[in-house]
Amino acid sequence: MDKIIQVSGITKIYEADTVLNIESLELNKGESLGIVGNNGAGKTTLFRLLLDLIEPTKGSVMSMGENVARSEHWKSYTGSFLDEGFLIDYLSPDEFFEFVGKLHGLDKAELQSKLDKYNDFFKDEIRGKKKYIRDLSTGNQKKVGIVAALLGEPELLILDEPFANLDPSTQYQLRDELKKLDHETEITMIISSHDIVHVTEFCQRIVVLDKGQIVKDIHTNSETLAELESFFSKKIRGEEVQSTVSE
Amino acid sequence: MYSLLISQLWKKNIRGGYFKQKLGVKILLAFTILYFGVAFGLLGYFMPEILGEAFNEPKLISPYFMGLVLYYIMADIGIRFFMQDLNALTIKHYLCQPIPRKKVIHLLLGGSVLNFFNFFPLLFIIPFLFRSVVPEYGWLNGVSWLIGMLSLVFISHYLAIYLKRALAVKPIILIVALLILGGLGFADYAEVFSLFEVSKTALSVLLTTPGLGLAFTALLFLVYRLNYSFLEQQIYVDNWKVKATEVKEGQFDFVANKGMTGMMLANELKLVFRNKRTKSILMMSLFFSFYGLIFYTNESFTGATMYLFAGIFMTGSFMINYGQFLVAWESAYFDGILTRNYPMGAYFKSKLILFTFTGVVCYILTIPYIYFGTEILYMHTAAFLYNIGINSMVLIFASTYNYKRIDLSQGSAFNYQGTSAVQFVIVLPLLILPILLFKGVEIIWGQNVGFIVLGSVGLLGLASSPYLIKEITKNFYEKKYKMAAGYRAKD
Repeated sequence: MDKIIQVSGITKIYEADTVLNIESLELNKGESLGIVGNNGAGKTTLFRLLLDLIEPTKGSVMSMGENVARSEHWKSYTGSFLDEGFLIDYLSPDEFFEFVGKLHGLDKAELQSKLDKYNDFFKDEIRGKKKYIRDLSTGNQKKVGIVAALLGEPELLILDEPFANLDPSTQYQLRDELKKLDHETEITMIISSHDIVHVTEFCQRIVVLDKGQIVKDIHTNSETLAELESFFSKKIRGEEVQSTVSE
Repeated sequence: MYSLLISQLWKKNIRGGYFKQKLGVKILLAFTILYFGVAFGLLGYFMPEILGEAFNEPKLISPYFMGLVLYYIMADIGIRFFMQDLNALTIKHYLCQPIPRKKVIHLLLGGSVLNFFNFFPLLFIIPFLFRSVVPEYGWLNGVSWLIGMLSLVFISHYLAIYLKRALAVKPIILIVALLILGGLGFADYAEVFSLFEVSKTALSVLLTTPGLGLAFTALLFLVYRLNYSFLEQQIYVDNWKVKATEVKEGQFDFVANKGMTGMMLANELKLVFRNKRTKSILMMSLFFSFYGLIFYTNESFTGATMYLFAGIFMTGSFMINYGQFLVAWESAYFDGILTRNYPMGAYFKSKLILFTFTGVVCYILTIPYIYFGTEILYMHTAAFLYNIGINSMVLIFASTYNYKRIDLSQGSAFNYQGTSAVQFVIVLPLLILPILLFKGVEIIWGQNVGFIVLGSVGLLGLASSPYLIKEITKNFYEKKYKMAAGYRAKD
């Protein structure tokens, strides 16, 4: 199968502090990967490396066979939302969508029809509201960011903690939307979450990061949730966790 | 309890603002403060001589000083109103703690006293006390006068913060205050009555009545109570919530529809017009158009070199003030710029267009200086062309060396966020280089050839902008990790 992402021998060291050390992580086209781990496990560092926002100390990230640090081709098929640093907050959501749409070469009619699909998700709080993004609630800002990431019909979608700060119904909506995308399209997803229930529900594969390393890499099955729960509760008790990286 | 709250207030002052700055900025700020401190001190010390000369050597100086006090207070309230911080939100986190609300309010009001505006007046009140008041009226009156004057300073302080707070809740109070101030000012101007005489007569009583100083302290207490009861009513957090401003729909659409570069330009224009700090840079740039009135009317500044300095500064005022923080303005969403397929060529080109456009506006605004001679217009034309051709490119290039985050939501008075060595170094190529170039040519071939060369160099720069932008983009890709890391570091 085609590999969309190949991370090889990547380390990120900040002043003698190794925050990420991944021997190898490969992702097939169409796969959906959930990344879980406690705070400081290296999730955000991994995401930033995938998106060429920071330079790896060693190693490389290849996207469709091209090094993300050398080529910019990946930007045309990758949609991402990590945090509010992806939003231009003095624009209104409408202006922001128009801008992102334009970056993807969408004309106004195409943009409108794409946005109309998310009207339920927006709950009439976002479009046509004459509000700046900076004046929206954190949850609504997140919705703007996620939809903006989806506007270009990306082949690769990278979301950091998409469920955090969303109200319960929106969380389910988002989960269903992502599930639908996963089933109906060839999209590849990399999604991190503190909520292991959500990720195990629609990710085909789960990677557990701990102290910058991959300690588990499992294909989701009926026992995955129990396995993850036991992993994280063992961590509370400080028991040594055995690494069970498959593949 | 108070001691704990006060120690936290102290920590807040120590750990923020000035003390957080880099050494270079600290030194510059310290010099500014020292400069104004010395200026105020000297003003106070030589006040007897100044007043003596102004009023034909009267026997007693102090009453004339009192004549100026009302003017001072009026100006002071105005300046404080615009420049002084309220720190309204710094008490929010105490409201849910088991601390009596009374104490929180007293802390908020009392803590506000720690402010430059309250210390500078002391620098001229105290020297004046020793040089005039005490020799003329004796110690007893002197001490009473000092108490009265200090009370006046703090009355002005508390009135200003009251007005500022009231503005947020009841704008009518501000309008009334403005009407009163404006009315007094107009009456004085129209010579209906002299504010100077009123101030002199009324406040001179302070010099001759020992103990009257305490009456001013009582007035201060009243103003303090006014603040207190106002805050007591308004302490609920939702009263402080800043109302969200409504988005102007279709703003700059005519620019946005002009392709990718137009879209980028529209975004940048929205950035300028929708954020406090950038808006005040815009206002400031307009004010700088009057710079010529100082330069072109002053005999001691004659000579094309000094004029050229003013010309470059005026025709490039927005460019220079805004451009030195280019890209850093966008630090809040820089990660978004890096991960989307931004056409960087169009991105930098839109900045060049912004500079050219604002350069044209500044150039047109400064055309009236032709009144001081047609050479001024020639010189402005040369400076304008140099600005849009060379200085714009220098600024865009230097932007890739701005590594400090700027938070656009912060106000602009005394805001040094984002300032680094770049802002000091960049002045050299922006102002010194063109002056050297002009001077070199002028010495050999004369002034007019100097203008022609300067303008031509500018046009050359403009013509080669596509190439320069390509080089700048290359440089940007080399620096982007460093920029992104700097912009992510919140301070």
